[in-house]
Amino acid sequence: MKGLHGALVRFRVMAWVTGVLLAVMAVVFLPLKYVFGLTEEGILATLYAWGWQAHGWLYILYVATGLDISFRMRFSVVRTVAVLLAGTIPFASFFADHYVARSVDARIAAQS
Amino acid sequence: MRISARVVALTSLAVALSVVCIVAGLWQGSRTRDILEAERAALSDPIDVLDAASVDDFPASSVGRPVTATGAYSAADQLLVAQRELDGRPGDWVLAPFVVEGTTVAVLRGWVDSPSSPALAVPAGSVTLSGALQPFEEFYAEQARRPDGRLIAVSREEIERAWGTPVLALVLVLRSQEPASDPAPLPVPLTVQTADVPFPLQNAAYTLQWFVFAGFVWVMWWLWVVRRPDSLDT
Repeated sequence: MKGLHGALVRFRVMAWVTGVLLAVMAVVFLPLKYVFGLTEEGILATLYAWGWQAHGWLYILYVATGLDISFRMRFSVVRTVAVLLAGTIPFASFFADHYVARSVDARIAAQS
Repeated sequence: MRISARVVALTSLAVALSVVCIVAGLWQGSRTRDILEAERAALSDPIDVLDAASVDDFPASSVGRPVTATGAYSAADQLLVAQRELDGRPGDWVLAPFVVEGTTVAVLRGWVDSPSSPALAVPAGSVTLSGALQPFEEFYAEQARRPDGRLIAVSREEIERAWGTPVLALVLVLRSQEPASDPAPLPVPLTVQTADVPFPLQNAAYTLQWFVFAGFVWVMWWLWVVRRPDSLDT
């Protein structure tokens, strides 16, 4: 159970970091680029490029932690893939985080 | 591990997914290389325009490439492209047919403030041009001509129809001309920027990330199919 708790913490951290960054990119930066055209140069251009860069690498960590917790939790392949893909859809990782955390709580409660 | 229908299905799925990831990674890798090549071409010494492109085709590295062309402006009509601003001033772009060893090249001479500008006159006889190659515009390609005869876009189809001849597959955007026109249309900036572009970090990173995802597919396959095949029975 100790390993499970650590895996959950790692997954939750990645789900929130990846999720908040993706939400900011989708809600703030995509309109800035495609509606207002403000990401062509200057600080906004740099932030825009680095934001997507960071999301690419953070998503890899998200997938690694998601695989870990899903395997420990004995999720089915379909559930696992759904958890992993949630990191690519704005706001979906918050639901994945909620679902995984609730599943782990239920598991711990059932075994104690 | 037992070979069940589920194992076969999951293995096939893993093969398919990792192939998709690898193809996407290779595609991002070729994008990275194309950008680096274009940057190198844009900064290289000019070559003859007919070595850079033909009527039928052009290599990706020719977009943005500096070229020279020696030939003559043909007598056929120049075309104006309507509603093109230069530094906020309204005006037109001037396109002229330029014949190099029998091949007609569409030369974007520059910008004029009015359709009756004296800068429209072209020198007769042998002329040497230097400039950079750019792709034709793809929008409004079907109906790129206005009722007043001016073009809406630098459309290859419409230009070939107007001049009655096939043209080189890229447009030569003029930088200098010998002998010079005086007055001359003002040079216009290149639409596809290929020099001074930063290293395509994003494409390079995506290349790597796609390969990592292909690896993850097999990590998942190993965990669920090999290490815990019983989890597939439920």
